[in-house]
Amino acid sequence: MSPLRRLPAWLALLAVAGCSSRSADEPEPPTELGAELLAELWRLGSVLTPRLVLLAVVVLAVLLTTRRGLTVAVRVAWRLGWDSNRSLARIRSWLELALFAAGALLLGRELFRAVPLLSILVLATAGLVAALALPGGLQDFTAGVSLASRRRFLEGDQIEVAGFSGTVRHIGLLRSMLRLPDGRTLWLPNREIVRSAVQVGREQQALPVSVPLPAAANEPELRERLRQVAHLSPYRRAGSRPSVIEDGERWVLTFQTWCTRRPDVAARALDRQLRAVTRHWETEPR
Amino acid sequence: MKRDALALIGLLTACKIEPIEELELEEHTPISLPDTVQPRSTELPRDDQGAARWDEALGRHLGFATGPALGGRHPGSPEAALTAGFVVAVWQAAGLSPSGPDLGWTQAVGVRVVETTGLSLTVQPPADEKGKPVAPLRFEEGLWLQRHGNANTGALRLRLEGQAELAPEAVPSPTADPSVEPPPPLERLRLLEPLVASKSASPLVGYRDAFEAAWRDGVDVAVLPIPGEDGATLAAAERWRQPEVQSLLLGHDPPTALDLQGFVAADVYQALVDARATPGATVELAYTATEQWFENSNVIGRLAGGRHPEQVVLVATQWDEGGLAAAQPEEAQLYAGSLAVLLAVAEGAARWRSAGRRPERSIVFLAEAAGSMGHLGIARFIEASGIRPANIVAVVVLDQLGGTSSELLLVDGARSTLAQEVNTLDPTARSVAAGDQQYGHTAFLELRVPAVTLTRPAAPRADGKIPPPSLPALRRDAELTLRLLWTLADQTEPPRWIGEDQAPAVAP
Repeated sequence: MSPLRRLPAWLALLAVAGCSSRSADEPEPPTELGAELLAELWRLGSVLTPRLVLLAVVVLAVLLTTRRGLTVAVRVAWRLGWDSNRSLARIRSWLELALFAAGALLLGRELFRAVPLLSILVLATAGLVAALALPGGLQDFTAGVSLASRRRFLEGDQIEVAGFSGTVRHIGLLRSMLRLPDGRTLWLPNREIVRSAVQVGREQQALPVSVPLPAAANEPELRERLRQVAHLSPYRRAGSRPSVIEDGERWVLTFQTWCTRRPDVAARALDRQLRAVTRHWETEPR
Repeated sequence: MKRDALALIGLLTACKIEPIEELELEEHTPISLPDTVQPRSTELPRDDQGAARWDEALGRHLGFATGPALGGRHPGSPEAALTAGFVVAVWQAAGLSPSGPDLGWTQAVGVRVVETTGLSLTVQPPADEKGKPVAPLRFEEGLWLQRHGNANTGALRLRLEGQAELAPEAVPSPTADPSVEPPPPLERLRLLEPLVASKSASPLVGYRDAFEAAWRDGVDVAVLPIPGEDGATLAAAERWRQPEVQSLLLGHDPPTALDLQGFVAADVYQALVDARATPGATVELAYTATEQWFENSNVIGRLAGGRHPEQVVLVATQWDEGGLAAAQPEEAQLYAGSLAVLLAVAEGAARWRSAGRRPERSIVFLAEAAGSMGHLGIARFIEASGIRPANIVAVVVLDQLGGTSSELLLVDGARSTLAQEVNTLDPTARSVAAGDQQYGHTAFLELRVPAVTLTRPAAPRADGKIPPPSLPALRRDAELTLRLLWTLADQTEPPRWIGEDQAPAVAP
């Protein structure tokens, strides 16, 4: 074994010796764990072969290229109109996570096989260091995983978050990109998005609009007619059904509107229409 | 084992679990039809079914577009966002894909309107030989001047370009008192020759070129005399009498341009010419520029093509009405018919798609913002929609539709082979030249993209009012538009652009 390969082991030995509080003239036999750790350190030189380094580089390159390719492919699909519901967004995010997990497993497998104790130790230390020194990064990642399901908003939605307003262009595992109204680009850490209140101005969303019905609506026949009028309202979101429910002593008509930015307009228009129908109902001979 | 795993994955993929909508409320009363109802379209004879479906869609969209809820679809009004939302809702329900540049449905179109008022021009001749001041000439009429830059109130002290210098002994010596600030240097005023404009084929372009050349020469103000009775040049000059409309997103810097530019009446121009010949004469120009800035949205939807999804047949119309004028009453809403046609055609195309017919090329639907303000929405679409003009194979712009005329007019139809395509479907359609009127397709023609505007304007009634769009005419136009779009999207050879010199002459 070449001296260069043994260098990490020597360095680790020196570190262990330096950290020891005992003097050199009172040697303490190493414990079982220490002996195992030392043995793994000795073995480390033989594990870190050029083949493993090459494998790591190839795996990383493939991972990054695949990730980039996924992003581009999804965006092209959207540009061409192939995914009207933007369902590819969450598939991309989950695939990204799966890719990273697969890459980490592939690279870690060799190390875990050869030096399991040292790998666990390094992993725990790295985790501790990351948690203490880079808490933001971990929080961003955790927030990115929670955003990956796209339950809050999707790419293409207009949102207001943390004092910024813009269109969501990209939701990543660490950061998300907004296109501001003046054309500038804003990268927001995911933890900021998760912490802040997010207002989503998605046009395809729906809001419930409730309109109290006039007193004459006690008659079931009139109620049915009013419900049909609401069904034909241009403010009704396609696919939703208006319903009439009893709220205390009065009847209330509720339906979902696409007009999420001005639900008051939809409510006023429907109220006007319902009152006109009721007036006509009361005056027409039956 | 492997087969089982694959089956399991397939099963999981196929089972799309929809989340239960929180807002969906329980329905207490079942739907029951009223006693008297119109026959459903499926109960009609086969020939009438299509017509009934078109009429239903067109009537629904037309009623809402002209209704009080949208307040005349005036650009910049609170109802403008509502109108764009309505278009999005219709297309979303139809099943189109959002195709805005930022992956959503909309594209912001910024509009900045600068109005220059309070104009007054004062020509101050130098003192006479005895040193007695001469009364200035002051003009408040006959000034068609625009400011394009920042809004402010100002008074420019000007020196005419080419003005004779004062004799050295007549120049007052600078004061020795350091506490007295020297007067600011005079700005430069250029009197443009009327011939400059008439050299160009288009008076408007000629005027713009002349003002731009003056700005590049470092001049601060440039004026032209108001042209005489010549209709084309006078109409072009009238633009400088109106507020300046710019396509500018909020927060961006106004364009750099001359401080003031435009036209002055013949007597004002003559006074300036005289002042130029008089050494020591100065000119003062006072103005107030106010600005109005707002953003509306283009709405862009796409029906994906099968074989060449990157190639696009574009159909567009404006969703707004009235421009800078006050909101239009319902009967004067000229473009509501074309908006209804665009929405109904999108629904029809999406219905065909869901029935299994997929066009070879993509069809992109554009509801244009600020169309009534010089088609700023189309300019913005060309600028930054993410669709390259090279991928646009044809553009069909819908103008006023549903009119009483028996002929469908194809504006600039002869500038491409699109007129032949339309005539194959409707032999009565007639090609006309654009003339002075501004159409949305013109910007595409400049890019050599085959483009045409379809219009069937309504003739005014005896009382001068314009009748509302006729439903049968709208239906006919909508059917033609859908068939035309599908033909253009499916045919192997895309339409060709024909140069202006090769196009057959047509009447304007």
